[in-house]
Amino acid sequence: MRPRLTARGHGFLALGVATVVVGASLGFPDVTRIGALLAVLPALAMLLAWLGRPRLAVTRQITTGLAFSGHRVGVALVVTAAGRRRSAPLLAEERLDRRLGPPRRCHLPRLRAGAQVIVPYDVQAQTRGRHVLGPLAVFQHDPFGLISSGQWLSGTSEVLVLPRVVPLERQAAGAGGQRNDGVIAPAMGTRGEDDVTVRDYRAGDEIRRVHWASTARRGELMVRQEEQPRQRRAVVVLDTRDTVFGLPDDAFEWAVSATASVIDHLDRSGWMVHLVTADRLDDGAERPVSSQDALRHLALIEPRRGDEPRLASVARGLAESGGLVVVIAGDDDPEHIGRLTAVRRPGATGVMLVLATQSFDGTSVPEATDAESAALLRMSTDAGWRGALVRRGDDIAQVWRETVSTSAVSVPSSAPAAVRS
Amino acid sequence: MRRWAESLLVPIAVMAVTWPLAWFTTDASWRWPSAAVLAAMALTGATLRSLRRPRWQTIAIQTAVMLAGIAVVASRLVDDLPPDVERPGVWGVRHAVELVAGGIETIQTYAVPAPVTPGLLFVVLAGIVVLAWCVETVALTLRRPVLGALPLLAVAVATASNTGRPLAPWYFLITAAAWLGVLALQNLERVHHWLGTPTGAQPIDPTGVRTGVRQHLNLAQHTAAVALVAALALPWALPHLPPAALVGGFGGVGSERSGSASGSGSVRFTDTLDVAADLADRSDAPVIRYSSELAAPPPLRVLTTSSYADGQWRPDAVSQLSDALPPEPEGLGEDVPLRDGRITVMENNVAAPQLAVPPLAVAIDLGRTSWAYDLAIDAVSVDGAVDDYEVDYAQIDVRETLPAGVGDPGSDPDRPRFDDAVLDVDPVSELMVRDLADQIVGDATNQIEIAQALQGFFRGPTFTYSLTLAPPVQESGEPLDPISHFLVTRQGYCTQFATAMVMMARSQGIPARLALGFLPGEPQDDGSWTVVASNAHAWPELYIDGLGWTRFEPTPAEQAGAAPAYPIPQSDSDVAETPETQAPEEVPEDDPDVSDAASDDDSGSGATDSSTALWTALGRALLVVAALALLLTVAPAIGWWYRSGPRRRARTSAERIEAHWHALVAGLRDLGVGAPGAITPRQAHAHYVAALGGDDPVVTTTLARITGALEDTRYAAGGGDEAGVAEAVQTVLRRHRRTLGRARRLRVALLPRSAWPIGRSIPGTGASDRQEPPSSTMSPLRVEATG
Repeated sequence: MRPRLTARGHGFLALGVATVVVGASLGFPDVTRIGALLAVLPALAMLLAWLGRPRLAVTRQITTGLAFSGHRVGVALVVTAAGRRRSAPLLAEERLDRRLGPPRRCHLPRLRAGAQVIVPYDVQAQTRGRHVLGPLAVFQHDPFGLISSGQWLSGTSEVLVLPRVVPLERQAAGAGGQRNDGVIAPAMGTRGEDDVTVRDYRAGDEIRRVHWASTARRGELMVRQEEQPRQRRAVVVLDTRDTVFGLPDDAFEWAVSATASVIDHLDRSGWMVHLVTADRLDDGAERPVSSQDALRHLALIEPRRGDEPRLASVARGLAESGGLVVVIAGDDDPEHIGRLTAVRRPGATGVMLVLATQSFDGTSVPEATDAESAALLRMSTDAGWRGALVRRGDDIAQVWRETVSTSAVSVPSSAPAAVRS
Repeated sequence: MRRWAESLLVPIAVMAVTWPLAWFTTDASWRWPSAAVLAAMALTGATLRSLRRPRWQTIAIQTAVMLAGIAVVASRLVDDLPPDVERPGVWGVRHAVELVAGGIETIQTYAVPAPVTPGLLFVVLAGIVVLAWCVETVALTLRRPVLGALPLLAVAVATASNTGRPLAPWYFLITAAAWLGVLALQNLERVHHWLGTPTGAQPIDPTGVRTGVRQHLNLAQHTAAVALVAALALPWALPHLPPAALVGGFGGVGSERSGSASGSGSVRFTDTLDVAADLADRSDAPVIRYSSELAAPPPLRVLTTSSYADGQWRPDAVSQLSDALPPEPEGLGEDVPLRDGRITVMENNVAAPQLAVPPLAVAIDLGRTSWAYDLAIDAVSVDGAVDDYEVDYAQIDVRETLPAGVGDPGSDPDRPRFDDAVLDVDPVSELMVRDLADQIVGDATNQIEIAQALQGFFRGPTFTYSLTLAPPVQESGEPLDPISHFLVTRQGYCTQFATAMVMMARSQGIPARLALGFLPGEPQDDGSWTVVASNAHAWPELYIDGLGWTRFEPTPAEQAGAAPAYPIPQSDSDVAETPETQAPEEVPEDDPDVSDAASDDDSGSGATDSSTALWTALGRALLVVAALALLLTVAPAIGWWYRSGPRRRARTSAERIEAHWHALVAGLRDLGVGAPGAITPRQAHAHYVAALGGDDPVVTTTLARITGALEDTRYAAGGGDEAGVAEAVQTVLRRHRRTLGRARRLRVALLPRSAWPIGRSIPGTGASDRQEPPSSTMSPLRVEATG
């Protein structure tokens, strides 16, 4: 906005000019002086505002690396004076996507041409997604309140807030793995041929793994690094049907967060993970995904109309060669659950988390509905899946732990309807 | 810190703006007590505001402090009252009432500068304190700094316009700087609170506040400095009309002294304003420097006046301009012995159109400057500034005896008929003047004898020349009028002496008037004469048969030098010079009706009126305000003229409907609603409904009524029905106006957009778009920001 006179400015100007005319007409220089002051002030303010109008370039940097939902994100606002003149001192307001909190305000000092000022600030990203930082609004403050002048500095930045990732217990995933490759493999994979590779000793390494020769040579404890003989494959299926999930929807967010946590957990444990969602069927699902890519994808995922049969068939194709299948799904459609149940190859481990979506609305769920959801879950557990019915308030880590650490299927909340296969 | 600073600035501004009040009083003993009370109020206010007490509390406590301060001063001042004044028994209100009465009496009785009596001191002090209270309450406590400046502005305008001369710029500078300081400090609050405004925004650079505030403060200082310099420079560069031009009848100061000891403030000759103002400004610099052929040059006259009323000399309303000097001085007999003289002025600071010339000028050389001679008041009026000029003049040669018959009433057959003004005696003091004059004159009949008797009376030992008038004298509870006061107290300066003599002469049937000008000044080493401000002088001129208007000098010699002598042939008169009474051709004009106009002494012209002075001051301030108000109506008037133009010109029904439509479009435009493009009435309806929010069914239907009529006018065979359209237009405008903020409404009222030629071209009105087919696309809605 170009500088404009405020009501006070207009008043000063009009009164000033009138007073000058009266003073000159009546021959009172003292009156003229008063009028001159009143008239000159707004004119001068306009001139100063015009001369000092901000020509600033704005960039932003995220200073805290990856931004996870619920975590603090550091932003550095870098303002560079681009004009040839010194800018006026400014009042600045950084508008933010409202999901990042209220706007942030600061003073921008006078900046010589080319000078730079860095204003650091934090945002608390409550929800995942791509959020806009900026634009920066700057206001020129007139010392006497005679003009108003403000403008938006072009240039916004985005911060990608990843879904909340809950650390899942390693032991839970590996507990049965040592004994049974068919259930869930241990973090380090099945025992294979020891490789000659050694690495530094880390607290917790078994003494028997110490590679004494290398230790003697290096003068510090070294342990044998076991190469993984093969990578285990996991297929994680996230149900994103908009018939069951809405937006914003706590159930969907729980599902996304759980998916992210599982993928992160598996990725860290050396699994090769395929993420199967409705929007990846044509592109990406067949390729293994790194935890970071998956998180990025999940950051932006939204409920959509999906091609359920195809989702199941793609997942089934990927799970063909065995491996872990994790399905996180809504509870509305027995047919869909049925199709997903068929994804697991016989002998492989399947984890089915069915969300009792109605419970996420915060209202009390009729017992009948709850029983229906449990029945849906039972469809898969009867088929050999490990499963859990998830309700509002359930902790992801706990659900995961309870689901994978037992051979039995449980409804890991305090719900009365524990289902056993 | 800011609150303390702004609290300090208010008393500074108040003291600075009231500082020139000292010009109206003999001393400024009210300053320190006022400053003390102001300091106490500022301290209280700053403390309360810093503690963020509720506003009503701050105002109440400050009012109490103010009243206490005034009461303390009142109680002290009562002790200073003369012992014969009855002491009020109750401390407090009665003191104040007593003092205010005394102060008002002083104001009414004394000329400017008035002596600082306890009453006057109290009135001035209380005025200053109340002024400070107003400013502080409005500007600081209620946070309305612009509104708070209005009392300061009023005082500044009043002092500026009443001192009759430009004030030193310091008063303005200090007041304005202090007020700008208050404005800037209050405005800084936005900067200060930027980070913590209630919008919920979060601060992100707490360390930047101080820097930001400091930089904004710097900006304010620089802006204020530049604005103040510009404000000082502009009046200097801007041509100003002489004050007399518009403030007819007011504006001057006493003729006697324009400096601190100026004559009675009530002698206000508009026409002398320039002289006085100019002189006052350069009281140390010479006003006129000239050389004279004669060793004793006459006084230099600037103008004369005959009109005295209500204790005030006023410029004569009559004017008779001539482009040449009269061929011979009016009424001067042919056989009167004369001497020729010439003055050559080398430096002249008397502002145009006035010019100081010796009486009886016979030739004036002003170089290229054109001039006129006002035969009615015997004054030269020049068109522009004159730095140097020459005047040839005649002077009655007092070394020779005047011809016989001079001064005898009726001896001059060519004597003009005078109007009553030159014979009117001030009715208030007429009895005293006439009695006294009769005593002094005795049975003398020759006008010169009479005049010299009067002159001798005033120059006698009973009169004291003093720039300060005697304290007021009461007679039956009322203070005496200025002339009587002077005749009773016998103390005054040239204005009083001259006025009293004029009135006495008139009471004796001799036409008389007051002349204003300068004493000859002081001879310098190089032979030139220098006239300074304090040489400003008033003297009576009496119309003597055979001599015409003749100067007399009642003011004591210590100030005015020797009295002019007009030796007349031996007579019986007892007057110093040898006046000869010539046989009157007529009975002396002792027409009681005329001469009875009591002479009024004019300690007067001054003292008469401080009440008049007060009213004059108020009148002048009102005049300024009225002129401002008039100016403020200019833009609304132009806007109205434009909006109602088509309505005035409309003859047919169709034209009238179009005119109403024009008024609606222009009116809404003034209110910030953009005009529709060149579109059909229906589209215009849609446009306005959208732009006006569309949530007022009255507006929507009323608009439909108007656009329907318009549509019929333009397209229907039978034309539109104009009934009720005008009212409908007013309804729409009124309802939309109500939705605007007060400031916006005020702006629209005072500065309607339709007053400016730019942006007046309103599409969609008039016949220009009548033939156009309805456009397929509607112009985008444009609702201008209502800011």
